[in-house]
Amino acid sequence: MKESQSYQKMLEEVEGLVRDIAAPDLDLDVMVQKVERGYELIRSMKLRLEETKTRIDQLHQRYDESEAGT
Amino acid sequence: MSVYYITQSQCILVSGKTYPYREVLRNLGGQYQAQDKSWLLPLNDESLQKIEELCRTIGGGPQKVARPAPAPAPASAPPPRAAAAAAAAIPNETLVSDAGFEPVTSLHGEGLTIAELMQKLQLAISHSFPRSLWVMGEIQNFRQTATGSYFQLADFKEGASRSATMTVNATIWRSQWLDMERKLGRDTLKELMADGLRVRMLVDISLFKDRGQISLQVQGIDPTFTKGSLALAREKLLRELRTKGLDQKNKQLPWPAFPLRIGLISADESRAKSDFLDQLLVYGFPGQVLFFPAQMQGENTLRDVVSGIQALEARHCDMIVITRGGGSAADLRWFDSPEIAYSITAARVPIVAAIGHHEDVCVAEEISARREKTPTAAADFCVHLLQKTRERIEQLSLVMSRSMDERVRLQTQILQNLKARLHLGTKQLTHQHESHLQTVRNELQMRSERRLMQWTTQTQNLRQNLFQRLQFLLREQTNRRQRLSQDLHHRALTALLPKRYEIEDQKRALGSMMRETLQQQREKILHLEKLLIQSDPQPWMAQGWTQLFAEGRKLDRADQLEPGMHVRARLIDALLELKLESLTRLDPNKSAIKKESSL
Repeated sequence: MKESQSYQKMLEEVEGLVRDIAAPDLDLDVMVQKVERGYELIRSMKLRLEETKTRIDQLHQRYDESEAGT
Repeated sequence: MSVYYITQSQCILVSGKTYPYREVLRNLGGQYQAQDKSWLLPLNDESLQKIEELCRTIGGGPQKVARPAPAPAPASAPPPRAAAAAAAAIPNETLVSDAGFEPVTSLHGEGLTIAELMQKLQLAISHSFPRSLWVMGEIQNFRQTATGSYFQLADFKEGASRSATMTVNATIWRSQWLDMERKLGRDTLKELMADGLRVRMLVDISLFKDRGQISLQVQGIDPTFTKGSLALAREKLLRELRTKGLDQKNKQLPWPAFPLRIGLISADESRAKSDFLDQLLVYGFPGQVLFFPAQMQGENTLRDVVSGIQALEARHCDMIVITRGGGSAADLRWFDSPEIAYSITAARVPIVAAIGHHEDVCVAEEISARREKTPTAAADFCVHLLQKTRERIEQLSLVMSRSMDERVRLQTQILQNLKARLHLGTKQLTHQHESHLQTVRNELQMRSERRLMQWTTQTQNLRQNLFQRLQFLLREQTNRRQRLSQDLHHRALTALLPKRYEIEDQKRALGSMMRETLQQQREKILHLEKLLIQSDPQPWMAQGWTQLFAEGRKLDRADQLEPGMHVRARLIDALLELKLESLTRLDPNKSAIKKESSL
């Protein structure tokens, strides 16, 4: 649950960054910082998703194995 | 129990069993006439309607007023009390004729003797009741002797105690008894002739003058009345119980799953008791039977059965069995009593009634949780309960086992479905997250690129503007420089013109000077040439003279020499390399040679 919230927070932050970038008076340096931060968050989130998928697949496989065992 | 009424010009006279309905009558504006045991109601439609409705419900109806007639009341005549009440309310109308009476006058001016009185009474009675008539009452103190049967017929005052009765002696002579037995059957007659039974009898009224007592000589009996009366009382009690919601109370009690403590109410040493217990023994009943001995016939039946139910209930019996070995309807009527009925309804354990009457069902059986025909059947039922419980347990065990299997199978299936849904759901969710993340990433990229493009375009525009500006400035500067250059050139040309002239002059002067200098030099050279020619050693060397050189200098003095020094000597056609080994100085004055050193 905590990870999910963290993921959600990260998502909200990225969406906020995307919105911020559209601001007309954004400074170039600030935009670069925001884009960097955005890509960093997206990378973390993708990593989290990959980990989650892997974890789920492992759980599924483990369950199937235990089912086959019983 | 019936109610009769007589409609008069301004009132309604109600008589009969009115006590239970006294409140109804009072509400209709009725006034109780104690001396007549009747009610006087104002005549109106509502009262008349209510009374008719009451009569339809409980029996009875409009009462015809007995007119003066010599004949006695027929068999279908109304109850005497009602008739008497009607007569009492209507002074001018008498129930019986007084045609046989003469005014009471004293023979000697002092009154009648008892014998005379008895005689007159006997005469009056015989005149009043010349034929047999039907009377109704309850049998009390019934006893049989060799000569006949003796008892009292009684009426109970409504609402009063049982002792407040009106009784009259009655006799059935043996010959009459036998005659009735032939007509009705021995058993039926025996059933009808029992204490407490309400009977309708055809009687002759006679007066025992010796005792001054009226006696009824029974000529016949109406068996349907007694049975009907019992049935009516039974129906009344059942109706009362139904109204109170008590008739199903004992039936609603749950049967014990394990009836191992059974209370038995029966007569001690009776066949019913032994049948019940023997049947339990046959089945190997594992429980306990608590026996409460009770009189199952007669007035004590009520007391014993009620006490038995309470006592066995207090001893925590699982169920109670009330049983007896059958009997006549008269014997069983005790089990139609309200006392036993209410005791059964108040019981907290289910009761099995095996009273033993196959045709009619007494109230106790009707309201008990179960009715069995015989004590044996009651025992069967108790054992059946145990057997049923055992079967139920086995069945439940089987059902539970199947149910558990089914439940496990169902839960497994649900689990499989949940697992699949979970897997699919998580896949979908992660896919959604990925898609969303990709969208966000694309959005971020797109927006940042767009932003960069904006900035690039802006920068390019700025650069282009700047370039154009620089181009313009450059052109401006070039033009300006060119103009300045031209101007400067012009100015320089203008400014240099005198100098040019001066330079030209100087140039010319310089040329002149150069020529002069060149001439001078030429002359110097010529002079030097001459000198050179004069100093040429060739002629000298041809004469054998030589010239020494060292380090590009001509050596002509001893001071220029040092021992070991390399010197050159020139010949006309050769150049010698010499090493100075010794030096001898010459005295210029003496021309002596002085050796300074040996080499």
